[in-house]
Amino acid sequence: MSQDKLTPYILLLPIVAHIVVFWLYPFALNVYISFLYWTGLEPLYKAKFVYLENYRSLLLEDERFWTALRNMAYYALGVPVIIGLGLGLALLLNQRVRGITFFRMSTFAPYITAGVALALIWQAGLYHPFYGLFNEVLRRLGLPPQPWLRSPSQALPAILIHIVWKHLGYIALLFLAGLQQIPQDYYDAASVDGASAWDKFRYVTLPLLRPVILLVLILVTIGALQIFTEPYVMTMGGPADSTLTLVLYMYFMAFMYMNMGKAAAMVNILFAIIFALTILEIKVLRRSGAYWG
Amino acid sequence: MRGFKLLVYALLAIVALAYWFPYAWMVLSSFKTTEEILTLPIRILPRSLYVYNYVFLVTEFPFLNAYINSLVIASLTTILVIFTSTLAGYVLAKLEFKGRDVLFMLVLAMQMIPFFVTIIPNYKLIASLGLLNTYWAVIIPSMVSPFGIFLMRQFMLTIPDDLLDAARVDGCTELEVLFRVVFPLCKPAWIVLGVTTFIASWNDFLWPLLVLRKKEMYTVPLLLNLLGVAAGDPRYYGVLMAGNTLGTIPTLIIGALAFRRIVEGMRFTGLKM
Amino acid sequence: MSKLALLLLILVIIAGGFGAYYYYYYVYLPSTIITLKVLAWGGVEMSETLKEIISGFEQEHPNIKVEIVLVPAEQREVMILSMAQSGTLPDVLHFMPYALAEYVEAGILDEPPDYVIKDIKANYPEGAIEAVSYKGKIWGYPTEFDPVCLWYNKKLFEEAGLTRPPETWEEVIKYAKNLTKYDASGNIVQEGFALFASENIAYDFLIFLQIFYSAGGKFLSDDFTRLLINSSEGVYALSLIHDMISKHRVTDVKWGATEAFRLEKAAMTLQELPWRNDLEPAMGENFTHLATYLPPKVGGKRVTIAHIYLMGVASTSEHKKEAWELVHWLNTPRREGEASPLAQYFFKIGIMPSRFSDLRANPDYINNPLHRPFFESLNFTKPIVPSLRGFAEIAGILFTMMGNVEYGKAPPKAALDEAVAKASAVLSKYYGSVALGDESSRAFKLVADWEDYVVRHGVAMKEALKMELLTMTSLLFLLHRSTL
Repeated sequence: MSQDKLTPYILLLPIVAHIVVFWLYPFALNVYISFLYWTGLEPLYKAKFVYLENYRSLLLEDERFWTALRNMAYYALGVPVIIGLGLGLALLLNQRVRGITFFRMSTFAPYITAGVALALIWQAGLYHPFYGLFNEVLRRLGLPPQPWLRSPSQALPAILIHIVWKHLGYIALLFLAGLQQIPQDYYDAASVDGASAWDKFRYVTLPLLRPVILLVLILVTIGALQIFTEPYVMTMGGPADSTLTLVLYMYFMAFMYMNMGKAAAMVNILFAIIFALTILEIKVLRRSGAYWG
Repeated sequence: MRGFKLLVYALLAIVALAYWFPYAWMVLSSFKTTEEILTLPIRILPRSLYVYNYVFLVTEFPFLNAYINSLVIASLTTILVIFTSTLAGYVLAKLEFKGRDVLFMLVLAMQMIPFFVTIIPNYKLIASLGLLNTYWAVIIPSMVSPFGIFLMRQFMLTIPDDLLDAARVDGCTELEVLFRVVFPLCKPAWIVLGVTTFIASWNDFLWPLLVLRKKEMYTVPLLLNLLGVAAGDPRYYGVLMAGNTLGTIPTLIIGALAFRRIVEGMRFTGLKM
Repeated sequence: MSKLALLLLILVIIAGGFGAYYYYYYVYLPSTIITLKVLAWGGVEMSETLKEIISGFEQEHPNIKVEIVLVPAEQREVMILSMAQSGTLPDVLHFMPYALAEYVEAGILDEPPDYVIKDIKANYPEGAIEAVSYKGKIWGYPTEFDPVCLWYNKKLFEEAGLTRPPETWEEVIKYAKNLTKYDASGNIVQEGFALFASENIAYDFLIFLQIFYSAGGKFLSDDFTRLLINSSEGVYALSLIHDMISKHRVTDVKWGATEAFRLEKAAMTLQELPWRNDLEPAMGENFTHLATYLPPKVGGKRVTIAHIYLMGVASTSEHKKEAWELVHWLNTPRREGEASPLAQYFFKIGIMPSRFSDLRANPDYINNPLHRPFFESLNFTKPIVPSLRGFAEIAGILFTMMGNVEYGKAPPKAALDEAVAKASAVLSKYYGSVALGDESSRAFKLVADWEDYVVRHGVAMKEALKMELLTMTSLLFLLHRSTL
């Protein structure tokens, strides 16, 4: 029977080892690197220890860092939009009509398609000032063609539209799951009390969906902070840094400017923000008792 | 009520159009010649099924290679993730031992660490081990998934203990209980986990971008990015669209077939994916 | 078999496994044949051509074998980074040292021997030599030095009645005004001068530098602590570009210059010779409408800049002497009056070498009207910037500055001042009184040392680990079966 006592530990050992080696250790090493000046070319022990210099220069002197943060704040503006649209779409997809599954799958398709592929289709096929579909449609309607990704004022909104489009189906499905959990009795009771469709929405649906909405809010915000693929593929940070995001700037700093220390510092700052949001998410989940399984 | 239904269908049609038109444009463009692409005003439909874009794609770019790379990496990752998640999930759900809750908290905590935090050190680690430009560089860091462990643990909690006790009484060792009794029950959870892992692995961009540096080793998203860069030259525009078409087919098919399961998985784990 | 005996057997096998692999990698493998690895980029065809050329060296040195490590061009510098981290740098490095200072400070480049330095000093343009120098030392052969010159479309010139290319920047503006065409709503349909803007703002920065240096501007203060681009010359240069966009309206920043040139919608721009590889295949016959000329003067003075490629030897190479012999062999002519082997390779793939003897050896190439201005420019071409630390990050700041001015987010003087201030903040870490800290704190040295150990023995460890895993898995399996 001693074999059995050890079994859980033996079975878990490789998995725990993996987590330590590829998650915990890199996390700790990342903190360590953020206190160094390291180009990545020399061995780590030759790097110089610079205490909080990377953080200081990042927060006080690095304009591009703040530009990236401002851009992320702009991306975060898309969050209420995506929530509102997602809710609306979920209501639409909740209708009992024939073939509704096809429509649900359609909105979900971009979510499971490679981000690179979609970004390229939008960049080269839709947003291209000459050969893109959007400007062609505008031209045919007699409206002036737009520069889209080539203009600092339009590039970020353009990417934002693309991202909202890509994720809307997924968000709608999340809301859909929530909607379908609301018992029909509640609506029936409301009808008996003489409630209109709008009243039902306001007094039955919304309150019961509150935990889902809050959850999605935090999920989407955390996701918005980590955007990389779309700006990398579509604009490489955009005309005049207008589409620069933090993860993208970290990629430049680490692998093009060879300043790994500063990149690590950036990562830690971003992680702190996300960590705070995640704690918030857990608190929200606990409070509303929402474990749907 | 007729009016309402009509409205619903109208809105749905608009939604469907909004979601399919980029794909339609992609496929249509993939069959256009360079001339057609470069002449304004743009025609919606290609004049004929110009397949040379696809031919060019496969002969001039290592597209088949990329497909195979993606396939191998995604499949191996999925298998390993299913294996490790089931193992860990079972142990955390069904076996009693000291430190079990602490370990589970650890797994949950890992889910909170976003990927980019570990990029630089993981990159250094993989480089140090000489694994750059290999499949393993992509597979090994992803082969244990906290999300997968969480999913399988939740699933295991739904398996009645009596089943396991009966097997133990019959004289099975723990390992045998796991392999002979638990595994066969896991199929539904495996489908959910497998599909989501496969799709995520196929679509992964940043990490393979860092560790796969030779064209022959590129996965499909990496190759598409290369095509995108080349498509600064309009002659490659049609080829880019051809590449996108071929590259997006697998995940779309899998997504369509396993749609119900994916949705179930989303509900099951508290709406995370 | 008793449990103890089994355990002992396992331990013996483990020890044997490790031993076997270390022996294999550290005793057996190193043999008397020296293998030199050369870093190269490009397609398979290019590497085949390079291999052929290098085989000449192998024939002369029968105990040396040369292996080519092929990387994609865009990934070249990042691959050097990863190879440095994994300890797998090739012996011969051939790359674009835009961060030469960092490479030298990190100690990954070996100092060339005297005979190499003498050869370089005697045979290469001054600007090229300057570009591969740091801290007063030369670090390798400046193999490729691509000056930025004027490109223009003869056909569009003829249509506007212009017979010769512009000589000065004032003329460029004058010509551009004649060459720009607008449509009914006032949008530009043909650019007099094309900028790269959203295509690649770095090239516009090069144009800025060309004007700046020609006006007599100095980039860096002597103590390396401040950029001097916000001087009057800098304001002049940046304002010139800014005015082209907003005042004279001869260029549209929404278009990339390459796109515009391909479609013959732009008349002039400044670029390097290899740009033809982006234009010629796409334009076909129309490419013959293009011509090149010396870069424009400012106030009678003409200066231009160029990218540099360096060929040197890695300090981690175990055969530095032989590696330098290979580098020297590649870059010097085998016979009097002939081009060097590397130059022969360059000519085959359409690149202009920078060594004088190579250029003299191929008069047809030089006298080709498309190439000639680039050749003549070599005499007044400077490196883009002096080698300085932190340049990659500063370049990011400068590109952002260009973007701000081109998109009208800041006026030239203010943008320059801001960029200088930010760049100084970066520079002060390396050159100022706020010096970087001392060596890693001792407490972490253990981790650091282990890291270094893994790097140096990583590959062998990996192999040993693989075999051990295999052995142990099979043993566990047997054990499980036997105790059942």
